Amino acid sequence: MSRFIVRRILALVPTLWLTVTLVFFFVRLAPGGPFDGERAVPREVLLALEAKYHLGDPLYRQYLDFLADLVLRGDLGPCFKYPGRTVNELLRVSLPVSLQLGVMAMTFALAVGVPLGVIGALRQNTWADTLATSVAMIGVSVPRFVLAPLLVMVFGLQLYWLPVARWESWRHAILPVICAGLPTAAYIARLTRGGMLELVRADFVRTARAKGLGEGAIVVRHLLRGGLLPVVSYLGPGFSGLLVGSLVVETIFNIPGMGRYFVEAATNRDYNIVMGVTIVYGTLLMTLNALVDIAYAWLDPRVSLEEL
Amino acid sequence: MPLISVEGLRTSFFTHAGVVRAVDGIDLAVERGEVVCVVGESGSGKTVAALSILGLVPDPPGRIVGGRVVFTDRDGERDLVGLSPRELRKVRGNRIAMIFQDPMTALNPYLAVGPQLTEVLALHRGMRGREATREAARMLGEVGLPAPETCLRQFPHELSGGMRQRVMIAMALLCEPALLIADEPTTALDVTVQAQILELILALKNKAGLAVLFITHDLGVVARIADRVAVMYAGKIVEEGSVFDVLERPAHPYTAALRRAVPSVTSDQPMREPALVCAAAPPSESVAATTGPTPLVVVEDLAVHFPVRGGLFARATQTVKAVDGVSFELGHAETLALVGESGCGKSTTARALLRLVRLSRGRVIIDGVDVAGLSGQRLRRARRSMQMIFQDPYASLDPRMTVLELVAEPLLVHRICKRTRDARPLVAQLIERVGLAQEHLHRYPHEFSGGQRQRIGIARALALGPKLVVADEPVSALDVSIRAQILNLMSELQRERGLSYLFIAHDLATVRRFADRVLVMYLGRIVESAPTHSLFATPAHPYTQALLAAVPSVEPAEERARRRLPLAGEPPSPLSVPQGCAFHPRCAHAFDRCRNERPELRKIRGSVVARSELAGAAIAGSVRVGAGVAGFGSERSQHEVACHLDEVAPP
Amino acid sequence: MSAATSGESEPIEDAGGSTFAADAWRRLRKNRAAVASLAVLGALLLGCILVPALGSYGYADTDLALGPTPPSWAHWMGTDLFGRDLMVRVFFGGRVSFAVGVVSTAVSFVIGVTWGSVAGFFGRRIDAVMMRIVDALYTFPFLIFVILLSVFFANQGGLLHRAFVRVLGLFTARAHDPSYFPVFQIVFVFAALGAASWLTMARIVRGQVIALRAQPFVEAARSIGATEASILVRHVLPNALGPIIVYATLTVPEVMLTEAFLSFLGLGTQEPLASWGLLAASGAETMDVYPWVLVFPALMLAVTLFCFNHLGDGLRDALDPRIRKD
Repeated sequence: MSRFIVRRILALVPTLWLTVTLVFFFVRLAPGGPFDGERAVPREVLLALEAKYHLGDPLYRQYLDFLADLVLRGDLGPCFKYPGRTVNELLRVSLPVSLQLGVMAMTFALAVGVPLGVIGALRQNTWADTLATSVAMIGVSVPRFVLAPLLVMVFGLQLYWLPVARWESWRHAILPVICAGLPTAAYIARLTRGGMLELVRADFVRTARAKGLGEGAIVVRHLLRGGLLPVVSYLGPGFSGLLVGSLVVETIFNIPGMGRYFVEAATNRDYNIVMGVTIVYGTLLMTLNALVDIAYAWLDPRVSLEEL
Repeated sequence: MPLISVEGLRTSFFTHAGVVRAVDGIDLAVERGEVVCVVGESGSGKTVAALSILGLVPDPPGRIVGGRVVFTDRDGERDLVGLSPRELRKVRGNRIAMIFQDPMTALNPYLAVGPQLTEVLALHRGMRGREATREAARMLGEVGLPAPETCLRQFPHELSGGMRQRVMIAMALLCEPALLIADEPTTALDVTVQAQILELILALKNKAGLAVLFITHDLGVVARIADRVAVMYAGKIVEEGSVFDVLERPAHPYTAALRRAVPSVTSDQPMREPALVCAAAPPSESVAATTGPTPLVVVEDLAVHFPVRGGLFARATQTVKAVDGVSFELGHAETLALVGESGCGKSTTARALLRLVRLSRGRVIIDGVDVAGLSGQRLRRARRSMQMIFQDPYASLDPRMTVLELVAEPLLVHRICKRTRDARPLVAQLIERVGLAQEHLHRYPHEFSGGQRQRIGIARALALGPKLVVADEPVSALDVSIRAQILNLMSELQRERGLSYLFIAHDLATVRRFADRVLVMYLGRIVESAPTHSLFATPAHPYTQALLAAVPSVEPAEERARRRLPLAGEPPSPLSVPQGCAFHPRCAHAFDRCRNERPELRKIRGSVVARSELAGAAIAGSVRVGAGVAGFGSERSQHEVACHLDEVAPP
Repeated sequence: MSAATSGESEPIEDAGGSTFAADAWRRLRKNRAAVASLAVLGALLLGCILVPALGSYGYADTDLALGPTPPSWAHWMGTDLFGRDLMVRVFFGGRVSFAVGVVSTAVSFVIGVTWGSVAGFFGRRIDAVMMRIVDALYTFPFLIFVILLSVFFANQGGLLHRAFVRVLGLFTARAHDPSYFPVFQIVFVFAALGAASWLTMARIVRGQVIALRAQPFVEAARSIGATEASILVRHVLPNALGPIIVYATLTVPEVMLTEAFLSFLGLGTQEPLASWGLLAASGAETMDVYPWVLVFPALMLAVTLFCFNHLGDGLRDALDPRIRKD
């Protein structure tokens, strides 16, 4: 167990380094720079700006400086587009917001998706299954950016039940969380149904029946554990899907999270923000993947962490 | 009043293809303290009948459509068919318990053994917590598990097959049921472990007065444990009676045929006697192996070691010595059998011969060519003279190819024919030779029965005109009545084409009838090598003796009279082969030397008759002394054994 | 591979899988939802081909004087902010969306199948290294990858654009026409998208191949002397085809969704071209005033995705090897 964690951390370093390096050179080699859009800026000012941010240095120099700052001081550098602010400050404010949204959306997705999938599997080919499957299918098929305005229109602008923008109270969270979590919930429902269907005809379920267990006890004690394995292994990609989804949700609901800044920064060539968000995303995803592996090994005793 | 009485039970499956009457009106009764066996081949409906009693037939597509199952217990008389689900659940696992064929899949792989047992106690006896754990551990001890407390914490995959089946039995007995339904509980187990489980069930019956309904296809098992037998065929019971009547004087022609199809491990019938329906095959004289001057196959010090991989980049961490120093010869037109429990390395040896696994050391000379060192084009050329027949004929045929494509494939691979079309005449000829018809050429494997599929496999193996055919359990996946046909076909082909067979089997009775010579393997090494009749008449190695003793005979009287030498435990993992003689932890005769020094294979000392004293202890009443080995000049015909006992026990 | 094996892998008579395909087709036809999905998809595809070709408006014809109008006899789906006929734009956008789905899926199919089958079939160290790469890429934020590729390599006159023009030049003399640039952009972005979404395909194929490699019929082929490469091509991949097809069918809607998402962020299809994602995204901005501008493209997209998902599920049931065995 501890060996596994150590190994995972060791594996995290080269992958992150590779990501940082690739992104670093990609963004800088791309035509255009952070100050290109501002036509009005005179040449001297531009040069001054470039000098200030060391953008005129040779690339390898910039790269080494960036790495040194990052590794030695955890410093991601200044934002080009928000003068006077550093990327660290920006992340300190926006990361918690994105995390809140992500965790809440995933909780919502599990709370909705798993029961739907279980119902579908147990009542296979009945109206309940058809209903649960159709709901899930619609959830998978409607893009978040269509869902979001629909929710806003119905619950915010027609019924006036809920606020439609910003991130202040729990009531502000309801619509964004539903919007971010529903497609994930739909995916989880389909996976749960599939995983459970694999098992409902398994021999050990027949044994459980032969023991005299009721259907409820069979589901809880014998089916759920194995049936949820596909869901568990989906959690890694699922979280990364949520992150991507949060780009849309944060933009539409005007939530000051990381995703919104990222999109902006990418189009504006604000290199340091792009790098910072990439590093945070990468670390998050890899940590989550490691946690998912641990959960998987705990759920399935035949999988040992040593072999992962 | 019998404990349970099945009256006119009918169970049907409603499929898209139509209604299948799996169980078609059967009557059956089990008294208290009685073992009733239901025998039949696959598809006879015996398992469905067992499941129907407890209402466990999957619905849909199955449904009980008629009949009654009257269960007379301490609570009075009840018809299980009409019972509400709630009432029926009170019977299941409580008054009537069931165990299944494959204990690996029948236990929940995600749960430790403990909770799987205690949930039964909680459900039916209201026992929880420490009390339940104690009771579960007590029951595990009762069924012969050595360390019950440890076992409770283990997961099914950490247990051996025999231990898993014991766990299943313990789970079934927790509530002291009146009836135990056992659906082929020993089919997935090795013969020595099967013997242990059968003894356990018999002991429970005698001790607790348990009634047992035992489903099996194995007449030897029936002879061992049944009081009464019901023979099922196509959903109906065709014959029923006491075990002596049914097995010794079968009245129904199906039972008689089934009975005849079973070769015996103890009776010395002439080898290769054509059995059952295969009327076309002319009876042949007992053919001694043509032990010419140069053998076809010479294997010297063959070893196959597998690395067990783990870690970040799949580095080898441990080594399994699956085959560890095996030497033997195989003559032209000879049949050499390789026997042993699962995991002993017999299949790996065969695969190593064909270069299907990587050799760690040793030489394999086939027809004068050392194939161990070949690779690429030259290895492919060498493969023409060595072919294989597989255990599972369905799985070993690509499901997406027609018979023509399948049989033509070797011809195309070796560019004997350019296109499938060109191969057609040759393929048609082969197909007819193995007993299939021209019109089968364009069908797919799934359209055939098991026996027909194996015929396709044989035709494919013969397409290149090989000299050596390795047959890996070629009949063990087939029903008893089909086995004889396939073996007869293989014998005929051997006579026609002078084939040499390396025959891998765990079924000793088949080996006795089919092989000229036998090698017994244990944990990667050969422990005994002998001409067939010599081995069966006078087994020398304690392991061979135990193996033979474990095979139940089809004769109930003989079976019951037999003294047993039950072999304790199961083979240790090849990851940790014991020091000295690998067999010593399970050997009743082991002494100091066995624990420290590994015995080599050498010619039996003294007369073989004397050895039979030892053998006699194991399988008294079945040994017919007389077939000495004196007349055999060739070295390959010698009786050899790897056992220190042979050296210290002079004649 | 030598000439020897090319002789072996020559197709023999009619395709061996014909009865399996026929079997699967029969089972699929019994699945009403799947058949209906197939029919709807067919109709939509036909519409996408015919409507922009036969319609009386062009997809880029603006009528600023008309502006946005609700559905009417003249404009069945109404017009957008610039007075463009929405129906023509929606079906034209469908062409782009379908093309994106197919192209990207094809790309992910080719990379994923090759990668996964090589890793799974040759196993051991090759497998370990190849799958570590896949694991690492899983944690690589793919969105950045797509964005960076599209900005860096796909600019006008950029390396890939020049290559594209050269290839296009083989088919049309007007390849240098700048109006082809947006087309190139789409093709490129979605080839890149496909290249970013092959990971799961690789994992699925690898799993299948590993399972099949352990099947006795593979050993049987080896025992008759077939080479490893021909075993992979003739025995393993054809048997893995079922799950591969199913996953490919499910990749199409996923990629279409991602394209829509990118268009929403302003990174995918660009005006005046259209895709369902772009149309829905711009419709969403004015949905409270001109709801039809959102409703029609969003509905088309949702219906298409819904149908592809249903079709994928139906195919899964129809191709399930366990059903086949019975």
